[in-house]
Amino acid sequence: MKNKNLWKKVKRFRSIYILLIPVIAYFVVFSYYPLILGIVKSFQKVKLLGNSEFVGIDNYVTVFTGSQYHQAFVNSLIVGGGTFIFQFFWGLIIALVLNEIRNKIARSSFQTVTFIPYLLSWSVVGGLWITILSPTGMINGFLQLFQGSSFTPAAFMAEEKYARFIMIFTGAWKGAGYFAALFMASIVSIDTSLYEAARIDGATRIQQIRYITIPVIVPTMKVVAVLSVMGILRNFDQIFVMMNATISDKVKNLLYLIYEQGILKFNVGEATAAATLVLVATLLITQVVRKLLHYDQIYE
Amino acid sequence: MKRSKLSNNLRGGWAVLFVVLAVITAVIMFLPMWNVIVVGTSSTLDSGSSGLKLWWHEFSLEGFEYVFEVTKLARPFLNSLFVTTVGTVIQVFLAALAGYVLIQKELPFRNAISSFIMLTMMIPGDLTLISVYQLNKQLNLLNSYTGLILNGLISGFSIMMMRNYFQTVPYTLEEAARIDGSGEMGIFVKIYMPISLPGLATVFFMEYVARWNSIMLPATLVTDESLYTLPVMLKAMIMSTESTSGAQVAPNNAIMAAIIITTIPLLLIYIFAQKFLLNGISMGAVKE
Amino acid sequence: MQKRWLAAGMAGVMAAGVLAGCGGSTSQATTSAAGTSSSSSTTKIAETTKGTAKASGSVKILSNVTGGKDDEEMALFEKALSEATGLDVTIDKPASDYDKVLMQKLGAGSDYDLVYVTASQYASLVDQGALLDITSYVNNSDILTNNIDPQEWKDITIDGKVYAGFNKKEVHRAVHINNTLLKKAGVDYKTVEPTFDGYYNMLKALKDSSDDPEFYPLDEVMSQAWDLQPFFAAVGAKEGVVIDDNGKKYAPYAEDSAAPVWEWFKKLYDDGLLDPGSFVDKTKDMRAKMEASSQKTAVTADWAAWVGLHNSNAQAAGLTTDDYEIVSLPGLQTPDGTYMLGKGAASLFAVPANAKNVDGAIKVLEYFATQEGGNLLSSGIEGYDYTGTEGNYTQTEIGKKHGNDHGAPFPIYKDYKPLFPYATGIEEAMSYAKYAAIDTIIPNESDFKEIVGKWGIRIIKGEVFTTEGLQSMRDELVERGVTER
Repeated sequence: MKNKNLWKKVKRFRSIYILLIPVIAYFVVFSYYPLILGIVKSFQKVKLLGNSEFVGIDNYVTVFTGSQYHQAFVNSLIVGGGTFIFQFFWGLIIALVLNEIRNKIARSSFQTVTFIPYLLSWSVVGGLWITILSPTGMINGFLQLFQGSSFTPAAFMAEEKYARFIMIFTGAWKGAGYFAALFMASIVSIDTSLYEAARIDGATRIQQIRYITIPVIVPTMKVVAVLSVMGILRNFDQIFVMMNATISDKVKNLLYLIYEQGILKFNVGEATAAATLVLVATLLITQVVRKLLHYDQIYE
Repeated sequence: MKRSKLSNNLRGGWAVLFVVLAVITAVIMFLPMWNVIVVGTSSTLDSGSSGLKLWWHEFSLEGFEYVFEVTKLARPFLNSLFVTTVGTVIQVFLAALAGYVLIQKELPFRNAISSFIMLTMMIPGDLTLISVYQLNKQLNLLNSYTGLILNGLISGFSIMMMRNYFQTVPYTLEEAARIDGSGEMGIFVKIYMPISLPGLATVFFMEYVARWNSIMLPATLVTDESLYTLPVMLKAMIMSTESTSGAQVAPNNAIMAAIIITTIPLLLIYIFAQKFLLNGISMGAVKE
Repeated sequence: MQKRWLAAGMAGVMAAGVLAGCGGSTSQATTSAAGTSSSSSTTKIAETTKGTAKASGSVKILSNVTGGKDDEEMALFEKALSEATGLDVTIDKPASDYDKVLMQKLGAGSDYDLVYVTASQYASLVDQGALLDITSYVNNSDILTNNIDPQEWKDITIDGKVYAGFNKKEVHRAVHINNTLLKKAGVDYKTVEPTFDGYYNMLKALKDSSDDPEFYPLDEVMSQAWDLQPFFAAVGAKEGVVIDDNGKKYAPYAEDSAAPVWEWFKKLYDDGLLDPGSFVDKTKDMRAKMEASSQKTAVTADWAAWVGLHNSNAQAAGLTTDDYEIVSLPGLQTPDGTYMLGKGAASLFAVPANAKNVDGAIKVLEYFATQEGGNLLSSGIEGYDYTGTEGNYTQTEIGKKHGNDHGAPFPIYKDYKPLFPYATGIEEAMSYAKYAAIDTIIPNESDFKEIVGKWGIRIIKGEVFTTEGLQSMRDELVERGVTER
């Protein structure tokens, strides 16, 4: 009975499903097929140009028992999660501030400027932050102004205690404008008459933000949250550029380890096993966030 | 009139806080680009010096001269423009369609389909590094424009963002259109597309940036220089002379000049896209 | 539909496996043939001489740095190489991310006859059986045996077998000194004593003669343990991993006998002579501080070629040797009165296990080891990068831009005569080549650098006691499989 109903429904939406065919076909060929090939490799001792033999779950055992991977997982979660949260709120603030700027030119330039870090690659801005944080860099310069002659410059990038914070801050700095742009796309579609009405009712600007702007962008905030949570374990470029040996214990993450194993040492079996586990962990995290945020409910 | 009301409403501590936040953010966000500009227009010798450079010691266009001398940029620029524009237009179109499908309230398997799409966004690149190459080889996509366009043609990100922006369209509007006798396609084109224009523009731009800046895929797919995209060409220029025992590398000002050259088109497009992003569209206008 | 794709995927994997399997077994066959033939060397000679003589057909090369700088020059490069070898040579040069591309191409079973690899990659690939044993080809080639220093071959021999030929001659790293600043400090670099105290006094004099608070006389890339060899020579410790009498791998830098060097660095740091930036700088930053435009440091250890580059960069900007001059020294003296310098790990052209034209590949490697091949790899293409007649060549504008480097600034041919003179200071730096030795090739070189750098910095900063830090260094090296004791 239930099945019959479902079938009827499917039939009713036939024309809609057709719209999806190109998308599904594309993903099957360009995402799922390579994915399956990749996962198969994770069960092999892969020899480039040689006989790859199936070794069962050996690669997974190596990954699970390697203390390096444990540490890297913790680092990935802390730095990735921290960056996401920081970036999220920073982006939100930028979007709200943007919405308050009435002068068109000021508004447009502010949005462009906040977006610039996103346009540049880590190899550019990573090197820049290393310079700013160096013993002769800008931060030490400022500190010296306040502390005077007794001041000894610190090599911030060589201090384990600052390492994660630096990664989180610079990561958020690079992506905040990007999040802000995503939020802005929702904010601008708010019917301006709503603000008008609120003003007539005597609502302060802060109240307008609280009761009009925020509720409208909540769905976008959810989407941005879910989509970005998928990326927290996948931060490679930043760590690759900004890590050094002194702070590696605190910031070396899973993708960096995978890169070392897979690319530098041609240890493809182990690298794909670790990458598969990253996929599984991402899936779990995303699933939790999706449930927490009631992501799949529409028209609430 | 509006302005006076605003300043009445947003005053005191909050106003100060907003201004301070805006200024601090703007300054630290602008720093890198400024640094890139200064180094890119410094003399070769100055650009090689250490430390953060925020002002010119000696203004010079040597870096740009170097870039234009050692690389031919016209072809890669056109390649980038072609591949990125075609790819992004197709992508946004398909993403809009898929996003529209995913907001159909009663669509069977809706959540399953969105899970299917979202999973593709979670795959770490390292997992498919070899197999993606294998696939492209099997499909004869190496060294071809088709390969450059086809890889990454559809992204879960755009679909999910489009779905989100469509969701904000009030259902009443759709209902009204349905009563007026509009078909599925009609509703999509007449109601959803115009209201979601800011979203559409945002997604278009984000994907444009991602495609434009993408280096890894072209580097893998293309060894024929006539197919190089702009970032790949410039990266190749920076890297080509970097050998292990320290032969000459491209000077810093040339590297920064290369970054300026790749970024300018994006900034132009962003300024263009802002027309849609910042003005917004009032619902009222659509209703009438 | 999905099921079918899954099935197709599986089939694809199987097919790939089978294909790759074939490649693997043929290579094994060749290997064992070469191995057993050592008893009957006459057949081997016959076999390979015949092979080299009939080298023809096409050779496909995957290269990182070797070749033309753009499409136009690459075509000329391929043409020149083809004409010289009688082969049809094509070169694929990925634009960037070479390591990734190499891995992908090998992973997908690509069809190259020569692939450019670093020493570390070479070791990994040999380990996986991805390369072809070409020992017999090498032994039977007059050019390969006579034109190349036997030590070079020894350096890349793994378990008695060779799987690759050379891209270039690797130079060594030496101590670079800003002579202009040193003269200002009243010291003649030739008289600096090659001891801890001698170098300390030199650095102290440099520091005292400078008014710049941001000036630190010594800068090293500590975080990558790069390059400390000239200083660890003082206790006779060799960089990287060494095999002891019992056949166990160990790292001399991590031994207690190396403690005096670490403590000397600590003293330099405490006395403000070692740049604190050393802990985070990359080689690029170190070089930037050494450049004429900054001069934030005066002593570094870097490739011999960089002496010339620093000097010619300054000269290109109109400075004279009185304004800025970099000179070089071989570092501290070892307990037995000589010097130790680190040499670049080889960059090689390896022959993949599934190479189709091994004879052709050998022919190309032979050409690279001749004067003419060296000219092509360094100065470039006659008529494009340089013109003129023998003994009277001049570089074109393009040739000058390319700086005598088309893959090999120093070609592997042992008696190679450069077409154009070296930049200021290089002759002197190159004269220390006799002290240089290559590191043992290990697959996990990056782990070594990271661990030694990490604990070394902790010792220098005084966060751990020297002996404790060295103990931790050794423990972690063993844990990560870099060393065995």
